[in-house]
Amino acid sequence: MLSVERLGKSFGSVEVIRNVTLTVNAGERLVILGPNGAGKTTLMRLIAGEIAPDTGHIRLDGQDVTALPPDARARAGLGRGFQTASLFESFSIAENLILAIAARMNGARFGRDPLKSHDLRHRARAAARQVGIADPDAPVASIDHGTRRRLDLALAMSGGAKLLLLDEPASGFGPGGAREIHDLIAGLPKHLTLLVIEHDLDLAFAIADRIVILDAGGIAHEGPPSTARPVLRAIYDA
Amino acid sequence: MFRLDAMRIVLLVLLLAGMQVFAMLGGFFGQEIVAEIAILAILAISLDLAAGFGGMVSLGHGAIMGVGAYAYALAGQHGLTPWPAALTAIAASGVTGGLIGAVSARMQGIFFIMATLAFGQMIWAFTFSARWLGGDNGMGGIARASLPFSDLSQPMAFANYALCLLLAVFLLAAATLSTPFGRSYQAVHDNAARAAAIGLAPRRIRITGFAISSAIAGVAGILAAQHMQFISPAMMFWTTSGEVLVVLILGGIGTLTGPIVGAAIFVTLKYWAAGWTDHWHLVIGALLIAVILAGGRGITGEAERRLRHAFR
Ligand SMILES: Nc1ncnc2c1ncn2[C@@H]1O[C@H](COP(=O)(O)OP(=O)(O)OP(=O)(O)O)[C@@H](O)[C@H]1O
Ligand SMILES: [Mg+2]
Repeated sequence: MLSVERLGKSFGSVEVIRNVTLTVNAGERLVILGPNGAGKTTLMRLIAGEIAPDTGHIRLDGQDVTALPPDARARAGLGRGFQTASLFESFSIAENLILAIAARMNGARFGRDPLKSHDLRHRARAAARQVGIADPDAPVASIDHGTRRRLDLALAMSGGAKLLLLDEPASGFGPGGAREIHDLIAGLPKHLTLLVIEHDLDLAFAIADRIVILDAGGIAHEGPPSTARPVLRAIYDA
Repeated sequence: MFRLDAMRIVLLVLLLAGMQVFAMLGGFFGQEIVAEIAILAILAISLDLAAGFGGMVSLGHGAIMGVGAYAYALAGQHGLTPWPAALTAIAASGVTGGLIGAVSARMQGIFFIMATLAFGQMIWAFTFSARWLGGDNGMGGIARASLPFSDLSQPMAFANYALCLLLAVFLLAAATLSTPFGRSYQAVHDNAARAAAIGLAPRRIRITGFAISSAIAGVAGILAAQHMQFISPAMMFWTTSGEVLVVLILGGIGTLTGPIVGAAIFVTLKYWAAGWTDHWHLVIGALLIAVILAGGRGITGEAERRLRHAFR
């Protein structure tokens, strides 16, 4: 599904991602763990195409996408959730979702107003319901932090994305909300491939098939959840 | 995000009807003023599409309008009748805008403004020194459009024709903003990173939007050329673009009706204040400062906000 080969990225003289090689198989749920500043978000931005690597390659379904812009990767099936919710602020919740569904359906053509399409409105409401949003007609400018995070997640999933990149989807929720989000992620259809950055170990273990520990820009450990605990203890205690 | 709601339709109808009455009662002078307002309003709507809905503040729109005006005049010189000449001119402005957009679309804020300023001034300088375009003397003898049922050499007929074009441009702009493209265009303006992450190509969408805006600026240029039946490089100078920006901010950026309000106030004030002071720019300046201090929503934007509050 996704393969990252010998990826390297520096900001100025600081090497943030060092020679990272990683494969995510179709349907797999991979969780990336690591301390603050380990380079987790940077790795995700590289995979999404928001920044270009200095070295290495990124392949999606076997196709080299290293030179493709983020929108082309999105159209190729990549869905992106951001560490701080990234929304269309001057639209309503439902309109945000309509934009996302329509974007992957037919891009930016000339035709009927997608915001007035009954079909799209219906699908947007279903997408909102899926992430537990009660009032999809609320303008984004007026919604609380938790709803923003839920909408960001829904935008990542909308329009038939096959591979979801989620950057700390449960952050800023408080324990109860975080659990709810993780139940939601754990309950996503099995055909979706997930690459999730998570800070909270318990939550990470709840969804992961496999865990990658990133430390100082390099992969410190990779394996099934059961093998990760000792490594984590060593990193966090150091 | 644009909505053609009842409030905007009512305002549009009131504005157009008001100008029509003004032209009927105002004699030759009133009819000339209405034509001038319509031209400025079309240019301001075009700038609203770029700046208000696309976040691309342009100081090159005067020059892009000028490209339309000159292309219309040239096409006429080469034997094209007014309507085909007008289509050629619209295409010329649109292509010019597309090229400027292709170079500038990645730039943000002040850099985009400076790029459009530079392109605009280059177009002005080129025209100014081009003999075959009449240099600084400009070009004359430009034909007005011909209509089967109306003689556009009559000032009243021309004022009505200008108002019809203004209405057409408004509806076209409103319709464009309501297409899948228009929604994507506004989404890119709202949050380009999120737009890209859902699969929209921000650069291509911005270039297309700027080209459409430029094509509409071309309509303003054609109408200006038909109105004066003479054009000169002066209309391409950056101060024209600056004036339209003032009109847009005064009327209300991102409203589509604001440009008409702004143009009407600007032109009326120009002639009225010119009657008793040489410093009519001071009056406009004071108004502009008041608008900005009140939150920058412009006269229309502010009125819409208050009405919405009142009717809630
Ligand atoms: N655009 C940038 N320019 C310069 N340095 C950057 C940039 N982005 C990230 N960094 C640096 O790279 C390092 C890794 O950052 P990154 O955001 O990838 O960490 P992270 O693992 O996601 O951390 P967190 O858990 O806090 O989200 C940090 O030291 C950060 O300061
Ligand atoms: Mg991070």
